[in-house]
Amino acid sequence: MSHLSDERVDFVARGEEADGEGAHVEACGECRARVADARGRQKLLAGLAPYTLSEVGFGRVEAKLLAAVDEGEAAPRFPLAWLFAPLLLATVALVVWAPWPAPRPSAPVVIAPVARPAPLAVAPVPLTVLANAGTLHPARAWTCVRTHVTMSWIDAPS
Amino acid sequence: MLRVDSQGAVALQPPAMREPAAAADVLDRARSGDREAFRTLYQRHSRQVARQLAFLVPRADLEDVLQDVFIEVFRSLKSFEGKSAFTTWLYRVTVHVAMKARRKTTRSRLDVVEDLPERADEGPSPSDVSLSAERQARVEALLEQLSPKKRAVLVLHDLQGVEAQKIAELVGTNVLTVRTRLFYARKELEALAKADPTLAEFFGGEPR
Repeated sequence: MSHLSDERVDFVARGEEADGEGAHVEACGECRARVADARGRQKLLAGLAPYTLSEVGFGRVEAKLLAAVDEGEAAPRFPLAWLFAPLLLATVALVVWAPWPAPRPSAPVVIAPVARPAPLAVAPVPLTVLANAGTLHPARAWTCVRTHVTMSWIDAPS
Repeated sequence: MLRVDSQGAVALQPPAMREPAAAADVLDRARSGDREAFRTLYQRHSRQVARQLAFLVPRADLEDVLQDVFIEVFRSLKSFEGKSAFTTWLYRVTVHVAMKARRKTTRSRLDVVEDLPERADEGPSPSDVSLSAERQARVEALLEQLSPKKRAVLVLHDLQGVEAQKIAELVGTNVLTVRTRLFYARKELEALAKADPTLAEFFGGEPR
């Protein structure tokens, strides 16, 4: 037997079992849990005591209603929403059918040529530098030459 | 209404005989804006409407929603064509207004709602027929957590005993939707109740 439908679960929870349903619920853990939940819910709802207004409340509502009738507040409302319907339709029509101006063709994009950097003009190392370098410690001499080359590179016109 | 029989005895005419004509007359006059007819209409049907509104709206909002229902009745009476009984039409209006009603923040009108009968004994068990005031308040709070559509279907079906087909007509949908809403409303209510320490006992949980 397949699982009980939700409707049947409710019936079984109320004790209105059809043939074989009781045995199925005993054997099927899932259906047993559903029936238990339904039974709990039914007890919960069955225990609710209905409430209503007191006579004071009914009298107050009556007074308010009659006041509303006298002041015309209870009169049928003019459906203001209908006023917006033509406005909405006009907006839609405008959006759909309006002859929108054709988009102006934009100017062609011209890509500016990238200026190539001027070739590095490295000034020849003067003889005085080389001469001085010869008298220095090799590391220091190399530093002098390198500094000279760097400075001439920075000073070179681009 | 008094009637005189052949022996000259005066007796009250049975309500069933005088009701339809009188009711139709009141309806006609109320439809044309007669204040007194509207008052009669309210006095005849307000108790029934208030009973139908129970659990559909929070009890603190009952007075406001009852007023809204009759304002709506007064406004819509002209559209009532008499194809169904007036009470059926009124029930439909009641359910619609209840579903549209927004929850009010005020709780100041609890004094005008009839008090619940207090239970003298202590520690009621789930087997008791009625709930304690505290449990009743908890269940009502859980019902308020459901969406208006689900709550309406659950209350109409499980508390007021209205059949699914009739509910579908009342709320303006089909039976399948009603059954679906009912299924989910029940599941939600069960889950909420299980999570509530005051009510978990009903589902085999630990009593509080």
